[in-house]
Amino acid sequence: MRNILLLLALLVSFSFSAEVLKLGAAVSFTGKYAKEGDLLKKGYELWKDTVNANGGIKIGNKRYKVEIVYYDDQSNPKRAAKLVEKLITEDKVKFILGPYGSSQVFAAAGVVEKYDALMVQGGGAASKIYKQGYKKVFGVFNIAPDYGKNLIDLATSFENPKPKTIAIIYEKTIFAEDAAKGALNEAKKKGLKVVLFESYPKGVQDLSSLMIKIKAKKPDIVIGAGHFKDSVLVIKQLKQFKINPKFVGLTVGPPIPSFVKELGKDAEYIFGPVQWSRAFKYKDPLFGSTEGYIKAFREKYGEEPEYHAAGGTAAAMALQYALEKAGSLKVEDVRKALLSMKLETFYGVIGFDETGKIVTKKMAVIQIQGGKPRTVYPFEEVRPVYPKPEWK
Amino acid sequence: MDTGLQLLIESLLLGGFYSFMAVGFALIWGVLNILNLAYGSYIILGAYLSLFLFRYAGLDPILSIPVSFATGFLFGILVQKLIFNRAMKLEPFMVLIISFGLDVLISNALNLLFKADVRSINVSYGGDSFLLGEVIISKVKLLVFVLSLLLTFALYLFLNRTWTGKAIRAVALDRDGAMLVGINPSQIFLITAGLGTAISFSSGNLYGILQGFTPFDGGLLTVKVFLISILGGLGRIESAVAGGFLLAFIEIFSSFYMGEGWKLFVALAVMVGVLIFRPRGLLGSKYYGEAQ
Repeated sequence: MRNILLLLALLVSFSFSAEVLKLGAAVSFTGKYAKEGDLLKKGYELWKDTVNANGGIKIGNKRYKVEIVYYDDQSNPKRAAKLVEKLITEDKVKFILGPYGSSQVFAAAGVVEKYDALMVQGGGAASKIYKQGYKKVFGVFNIAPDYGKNLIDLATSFENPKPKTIAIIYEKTIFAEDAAKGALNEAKKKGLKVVLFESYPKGVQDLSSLMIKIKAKKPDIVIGAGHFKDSVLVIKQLKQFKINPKFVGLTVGPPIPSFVKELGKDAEYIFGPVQWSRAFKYKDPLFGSTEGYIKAFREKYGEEPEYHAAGGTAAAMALQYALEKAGSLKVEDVRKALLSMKLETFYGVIGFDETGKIVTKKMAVIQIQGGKPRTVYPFEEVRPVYPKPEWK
Repeated sequence: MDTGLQLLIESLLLGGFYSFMAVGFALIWGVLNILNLAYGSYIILGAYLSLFLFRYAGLDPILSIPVSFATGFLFGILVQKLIFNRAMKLEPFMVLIISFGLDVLISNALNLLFKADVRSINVSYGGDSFLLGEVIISKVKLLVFVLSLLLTFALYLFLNRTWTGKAIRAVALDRDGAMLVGINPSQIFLITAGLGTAISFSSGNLYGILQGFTPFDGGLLTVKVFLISILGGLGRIESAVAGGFLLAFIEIFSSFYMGEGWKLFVALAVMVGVLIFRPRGLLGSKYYGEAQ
């Protein structure tokens, strides 16, 4: 009996020592995105534990311990929307951490907006999330046009020899077209001559005709914007047609392990953008630096962090510092703090535009070297190989 | 580089494969009067079979063509015996629906077994090509072209020189007449179904080294063999060959001059034109063999 009383007393004293701030997230733990959802949760959890170990979030004069309520959206956007509704109306959570996947984020965003809550997400990269006029949805993933833009930024930074012409081919789908247009606009801005800008339909089997066109124009840069299957096809056929540009970049594909598995040595020296890389070298207010973040992650989980987890942690950090800066738990105040934010973190510089999308962060670009994706931009894990050697 | 010549070569190389791929479909259609909507999935089935043999037995997809052929032959006979023989007694429409069901069944079964990932058979000579004057020729495409022509020619000899081949053509021409001279049509049906399916499986081997594939690529292939059969006509092997080359030319040239997205549209537009002005195709006649 005395023991129980003691325990009770301990519990009471603990619960009085700090207030609790409840956050909520609907994440995929089962279904198609189960793996990514799990990584995202790891990112959130690492943030939560680190913040709580430091005494919690300081809002105004109070310190709050963080608690996160999770639900499984089963990789289903409709379910994600329902669960976010439940989080807001039943669990009385005002601040939502986003789900994984553009469709889930998009579905959740509508609910968040409707109930006047606020969401920061690191799980969706589709531009359409930011085209709805939503005011309370913020995201830390670069959106589709950035995939093209960052490739061009890297390509035009090479001097020896300076690339002059570019061919862009893309799959006729929303994401790929957005990415291709991002590349096109940046190419024009940087004074490249666009010799080909053409689409091919989804599910294409053969790109011979397009290859003959590229071959005739001899561009210095070839950018392919598509999805995994056609990205592989582009590389196979560039080789088949003995097209040897100085720079080959694909918006989707190169960082995925099966890209190298599928193409073998032909994958060498291909460039591709990624949301985040372990080779980033930024300062961080919570983890010290990117390196500190990686170390903390490794210690907690015994594995290396991928961009999914990093996105989760970054989204949560954006929310944390907005809350601290606002010094208030009012959605409107926190929103203003997010809009004026410019915060250097392990993930990159976080800052948003009016629509809630991140605009201050660069994507990393990797190049396949020795069968592995190695970061070459904006930080050089290894020196980029340029111009690309001819196909062997 | 001479673009026109390059396009011409590409069309020829693709046309050879298209011809072979479609011959089985045209054969089944011409002789059994079955429009087999599962044909495209048969090709994909062959591709997965050769992938399986390549991965686990190290058998080159070219060398495993006989395996695919034999498996396809047995599979075709089995399906004919168990399903189509019964369905053929019903309305033709029922056969169409059953073959559609078969297509859905096969593609989803493949999806369960192999997942929806894109698979490809990476043979060592896969990416190689050589220059012939100004023209680039892919070794794999050339190999597939030569093999397709050889196999199509072998089939041509079989149908024209052997007793069974002649019997197949006789049944296509006139079932009652064939019975009068002592040919058993139900036996011929089995052989033809087996042969047609064997061709589809073998073309799957070639398809697999030409490009990547997923369990759901069968639908588009069915559309292509259908187009080829309509364009060329159902009469003879030559019809399928003519249709195959024609489709290849249409695809390559329209995608070059009008854009990738246009090629299926142009091919279908030409098909409509052919159906209006030459309902039996360019070289076709109503049933297999009738023209000779």
